[in-house]
Amino acid sequence: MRNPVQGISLHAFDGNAATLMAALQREPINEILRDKDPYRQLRYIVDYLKYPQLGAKSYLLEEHYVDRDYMEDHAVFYSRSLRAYANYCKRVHFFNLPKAQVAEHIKSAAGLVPGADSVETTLSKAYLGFVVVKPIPGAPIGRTVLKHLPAEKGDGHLRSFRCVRDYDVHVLGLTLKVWGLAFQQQDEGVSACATTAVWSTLQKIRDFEDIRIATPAEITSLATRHILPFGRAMPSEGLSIDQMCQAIQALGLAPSLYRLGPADDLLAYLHAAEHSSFPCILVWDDPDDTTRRHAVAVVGVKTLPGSVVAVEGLTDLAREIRAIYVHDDRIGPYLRTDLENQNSGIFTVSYGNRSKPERWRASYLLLPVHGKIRLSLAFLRQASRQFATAVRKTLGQKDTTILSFESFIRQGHKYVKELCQDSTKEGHAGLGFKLVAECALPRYLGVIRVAAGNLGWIDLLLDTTSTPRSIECVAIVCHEQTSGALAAAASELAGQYACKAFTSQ
Amino acid sequence: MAATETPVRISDLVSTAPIRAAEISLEERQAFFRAVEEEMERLGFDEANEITAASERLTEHDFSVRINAR
Repeated sequence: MRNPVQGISLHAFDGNAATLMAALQREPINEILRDKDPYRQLRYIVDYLKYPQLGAKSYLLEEHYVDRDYMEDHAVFYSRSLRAYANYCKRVHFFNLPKAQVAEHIKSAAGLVPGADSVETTLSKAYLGFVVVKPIPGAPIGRTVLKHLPAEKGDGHLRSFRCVRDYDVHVLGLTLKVWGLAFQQQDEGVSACATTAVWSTLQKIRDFEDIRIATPAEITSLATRHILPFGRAMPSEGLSIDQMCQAIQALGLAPSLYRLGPADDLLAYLHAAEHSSFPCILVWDDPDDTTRRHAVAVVGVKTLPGSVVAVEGLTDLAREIRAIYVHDDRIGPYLRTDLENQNSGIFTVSYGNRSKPERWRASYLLLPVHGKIRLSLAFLRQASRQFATAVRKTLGQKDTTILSFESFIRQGHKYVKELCQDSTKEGHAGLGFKLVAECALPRYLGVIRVAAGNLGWIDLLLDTTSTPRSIECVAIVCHEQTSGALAAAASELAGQYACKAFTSQ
Repeated sequence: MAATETPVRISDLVSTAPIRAAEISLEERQAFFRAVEEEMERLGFDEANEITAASERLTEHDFSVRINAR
């Protein structure tokens, strides 16, 4: 048997999906396919790469790429079909440099031109990510990692993508880096939307724990191992929330599920999950047909800072959220879905040639977390309301400073690291060091932050391995610029909450 | 006989002491949190917390919800 032949070619990106499809040499779409438009995700991706902030100008096409996720899908499902599906894929890498410049860098990498050392750095800066194209006619888009959009939006809004991670990508002997979160479309063979949403959220776990990332086929198998309420496991006919929880549990994580009522809590959970760098799964239902449900992975939020009106001197930072960015397997990665209004909990999806936006109501939020995180986002939310009230009371009625409050979860060592970086930046060295030298920290901290604008903030740190009935306060940490009022409040609150307090003064 | 080593405490190298916490009696603490509770009630936070707590009280129906969009 001869070895497979690799072929790598460099192309100009003209922003036209048809050109890219021609280069991929896809077979014509079979008219009896249920999905008459299996390339809409690819068209979305081409549109996404045309954003001026990304500005794709060229792409590199690898003809033979072995993808772990597809190989597993092939092993458990496609290899048993009559049609001999290939066990490999194609992969397309996008750059924001013109074809001629990328060609020069590749020549350098090959040693034909001096300066090869800087090639990886230069190409990584220009690298926009990759798309794996599977040999499945009805579901071509496999593992796709694209760079996310920048934080500044230019109109006062901010984008935040704390849920992404770095991926090392190996091509032509080079290691390129891209910051994003993996996306793929459902194939209805081994996965449905619920499976791919779970798969995307689990991608980030590698940043926190040594847990192997499961493939879509593994997730479906684990989800359907004990219960099969809707028929066969494969071809996948969708999952129940119970099955999604079973899969998450089987992978060594804890499924944290919330039923969403008023938008107030929805926004708080989205804010807390994103601020904690935890991608979450949002279950939507169609407001006009509540039996129709969909699952997406939330990977970022769009906020309008300073937009929340204070009530009694307190502002809830979660209410700054105006939209979320989701991986929607029906459409594509980083799809912006706008909140219809701040109180409805309804999101609108405008992409495509629909005459009016799709409307979805958020009904459940599912968060895969480490088992040691026993405190829920709901508890942290309740605790944040209490702590904000306590800080307000401690500062006294004469203090008219507007206080904002929020809650999130942070790994103990990362919290200290961030504190050290902040302390150094602000000239208050040692705050993080004091905390870690004096207090034994849990693996994950529950952080309730009450901030007084630019003056500073007070954090109440909770031990997430404790429970609401036996809650443990680790410490109070105060970072203040000048006045001393917050530090005085921190001393008072340390007495009330019976824990140590540290300040940057 | 091995030489006795004198360990150096980190707090001897760098000042790591927390700030002095206010000395508060049990009665004062109870009074403080009672006042916080009253303030939360006035702000509507106690009612909001009830609704938040309900988001975690899940039933069999919640887990049986099927996700089926294509």
